[in-house]
Amino acid sequence: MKRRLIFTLLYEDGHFVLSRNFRTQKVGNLGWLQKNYDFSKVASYLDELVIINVSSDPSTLDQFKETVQAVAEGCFAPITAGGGICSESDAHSLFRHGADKVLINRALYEDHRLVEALAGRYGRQAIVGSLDFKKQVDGYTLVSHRATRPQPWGPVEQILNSGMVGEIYATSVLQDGTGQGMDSEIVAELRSRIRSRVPVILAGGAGKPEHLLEPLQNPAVSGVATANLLNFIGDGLKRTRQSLRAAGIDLARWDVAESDLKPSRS
Amino acid sequence: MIRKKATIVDYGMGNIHSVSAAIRHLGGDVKVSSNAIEIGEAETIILPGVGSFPSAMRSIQSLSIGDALQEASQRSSTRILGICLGMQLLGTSSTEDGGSEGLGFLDFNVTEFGSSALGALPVPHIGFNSVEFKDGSALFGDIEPESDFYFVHSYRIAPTQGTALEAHSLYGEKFVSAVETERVFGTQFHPEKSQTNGLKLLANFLEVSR
Repeated sequence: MKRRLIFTLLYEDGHFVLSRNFRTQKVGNLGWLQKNYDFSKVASYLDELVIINVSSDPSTLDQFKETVQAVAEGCFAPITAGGGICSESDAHSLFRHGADKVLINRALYEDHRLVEALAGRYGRQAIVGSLDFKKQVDGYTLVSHRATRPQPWGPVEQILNSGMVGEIYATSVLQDGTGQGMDSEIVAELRSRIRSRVPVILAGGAGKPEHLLEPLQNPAVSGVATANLLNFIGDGLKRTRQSLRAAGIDLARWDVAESDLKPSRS
Repeated sequence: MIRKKATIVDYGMGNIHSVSAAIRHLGGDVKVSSNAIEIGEAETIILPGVGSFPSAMRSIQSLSIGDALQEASQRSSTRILGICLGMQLLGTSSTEDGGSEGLGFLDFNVTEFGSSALGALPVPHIGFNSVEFKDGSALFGDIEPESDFYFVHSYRIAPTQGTALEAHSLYGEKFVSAVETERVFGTQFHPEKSQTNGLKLLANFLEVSR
């Protein structure tokens, strides 16, 4: 399989945000992102886009799905959206607004019936399980609620081994937003815990292309995600794709030139 | 820019939004329809689809869309593109979920990936994969050989000996990743999710349908 280079947008109460160790800082809305970072160009260099709603206020879901739809309008790659999905109708509205897959976190611990219902209706390939890992002296703890609440492994092992989850998006809380490098150990921990062979996407800590290369050299890592607006936007992802491919990573190819976006014959 | 109206068939099981956005991006006009009369009169038809084959066929039949597509396909000017499940529905039958007959425009059967061929590969097959197509393909005109497209599927069409022009991809075994005849086209991958490679293919489809 080809590996994947994924970009993640974090959304909170009407704005995109940057996160560091799960503490967020407001950066701007979609217009701002487009104006300052030429986001539609960035979107043409990624294998997939993830958009996560980290708002604490559940009433922001409507605004979030409008944002997903606006982003989806100019993005011709698969889109995963989620965060705060508490019901089938929450998920359904994201699918109707352009999401190809939904990102599920708390339901992995608390609501397996929701995961089963979503997998039954949309297929397991549309369900991405999001897990946040906090490094401790003696290993890793799973955490939820913005990394404030420890969670047991039992329910997660059960739901992942049930085959209801199509892939896993694993984030290191410690590395998140630091730009200091990624933590591939998380993937080893995860693989040792679960039997399911689902693809694992690693997130958190990439500050430069080399940080993405190291985990991609590990066959257990299906893809890497970065939410680093400062280092991987503009021409950042284009250059990153080139350098990863030069280093022997099998990434999909396509041309990106405005002329290619239009038909060649009139 | 292509000024062309594409009718996207909405039977409740496709990612209508992405296909529409891609066609509009190419300069085409989009009509999303679940109306059998409109579909029967359409010249450029896209049949998307995600989900289970038998339930898709039930939705299509209950809306009389099957007959409408049949009617449209009789006209020499009509071009139909099935995407993912939409391509599978164009065939004779599928073994998915207890089995079902398809629309029967193309001569193939849809079956599961062979488990022995897959080995350790996970199913569904998700992600970009390269496509090997034949010279003279209208869908792949001006597209580089071995280009990558985005797939999400668990069932597939095994290569046939039929007369339709087939493109193939490899996932443990060879399978049909696209098919074309004069009027009926299909892609197992999602061109609307395959960046510029997919946009070129959709532009090619709009070009052949004039």
